[in-house]
Amino acid sequence: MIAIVDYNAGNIRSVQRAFEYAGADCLITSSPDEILSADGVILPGVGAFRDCFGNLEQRGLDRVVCQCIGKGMPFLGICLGFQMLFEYSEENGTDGGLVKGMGVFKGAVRRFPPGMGLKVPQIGWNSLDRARDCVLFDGLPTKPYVYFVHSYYVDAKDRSLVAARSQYGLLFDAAIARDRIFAVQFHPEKSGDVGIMIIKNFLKVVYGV
Amino acid sequence: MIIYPAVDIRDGKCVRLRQGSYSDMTVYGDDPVEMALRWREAGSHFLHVVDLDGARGQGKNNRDIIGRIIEALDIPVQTGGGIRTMEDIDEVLSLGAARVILGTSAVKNPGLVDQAVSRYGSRIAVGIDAKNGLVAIEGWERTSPYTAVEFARHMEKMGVETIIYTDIAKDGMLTGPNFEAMDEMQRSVSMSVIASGGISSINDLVRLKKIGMAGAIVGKAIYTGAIDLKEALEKV
Repeated sequence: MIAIVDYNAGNIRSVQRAFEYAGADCLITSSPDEILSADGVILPGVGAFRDCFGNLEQRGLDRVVCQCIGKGMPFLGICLGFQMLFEYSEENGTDGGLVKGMGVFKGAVRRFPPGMGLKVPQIGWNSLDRARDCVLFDGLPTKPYVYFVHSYYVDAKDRSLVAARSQYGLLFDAAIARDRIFAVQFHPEKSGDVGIMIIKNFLKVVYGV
Repeated sequence: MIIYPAVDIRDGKCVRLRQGSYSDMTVYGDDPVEMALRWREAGSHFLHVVDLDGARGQGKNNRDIIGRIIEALDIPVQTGGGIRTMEDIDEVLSLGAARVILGTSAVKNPGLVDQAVSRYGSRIAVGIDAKNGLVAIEGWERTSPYTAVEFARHMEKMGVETIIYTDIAKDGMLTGPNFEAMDEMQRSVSMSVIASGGISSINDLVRLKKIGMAGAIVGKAIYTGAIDLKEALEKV
């Protein structure tokens, strides 16, 4: 069973659909027991970092997610579920300050700089530049196209984490991988066949087939 | 150039209009979700969904169906029709739409565009529908005093980054798009311009791509079979 962490972070039914389509049994849940006893854990997330992390924290699920990662459970963070793994976001809240994240990995979430003529958020298909071999991208073209929606990007401190980068005005970290922990900025559930392949590759890690 | 297959919904059904006229409508399917999945299967990367009941402002709308389309597809969806308030925008984006399209509301209430763009940035697009060069409103049944290009420039100043430009005279006619108008619009603004209306062959798509359009919406042509969507996606 794959647990999709439910913390009121927007519509996650399409995440569930895509995983089911890829052949997984999924459960959308906010129960710590169900999450901790799952075969793999998905942390989705859309919207604003502060609200998203606030919702996660309020339910105590930030600690549960950290526990899953600490135990080495197969994990996939998507979009804000990727960003929230880092120490803080530069997303300006009402006080204009930094917003803290889970801090599982060192690094920051930064805003695409203004004045570069970039459309923000980046909405659309963009290619991945693979930084190294990663099981998530098995069977895909060298530069697969995936779908992004985001105004902020991850700047990971530990460069050995980075599995793929993408170019949008600047090069940003689009995917990280360590052991069975994966997280991606793009939306595999909205990336057509490429996305389904990435989900299947993740499921291979989970079930070892 | 991104090709957007269009799914227009009226009264829960998948339909096409001719020149925006509700009295000249063809029903192509009873299930818009099924239709959306069919266009996805052809290899699309993006879908364009319009709520025609919403556009006409008849009170009811097809938002539940749009939600089901978004959930069912593993590709992004942009949607418009009847988006009149910030609450509408919040609701549609929270359904998981990639982008929401403001039409009439942008003409009547520029304050909404301003507010929406400052909150959602490039997730806000504006649909500019032109009838004889003038912006049409109310499900295309009336025109405003603005020319399409004037209005587009105004939207650009407000920070809008994507417009969908439709020539109503061409829409649903399968006689080819208004290339001159598309070219003029494309040259007049630096926003992404998505062409819509009248596209009836793969050659039309190739020509729009050459003009430099960011995208093109295909409607009736894929329903009648004038364009084979899979072939178009491979060739353009």
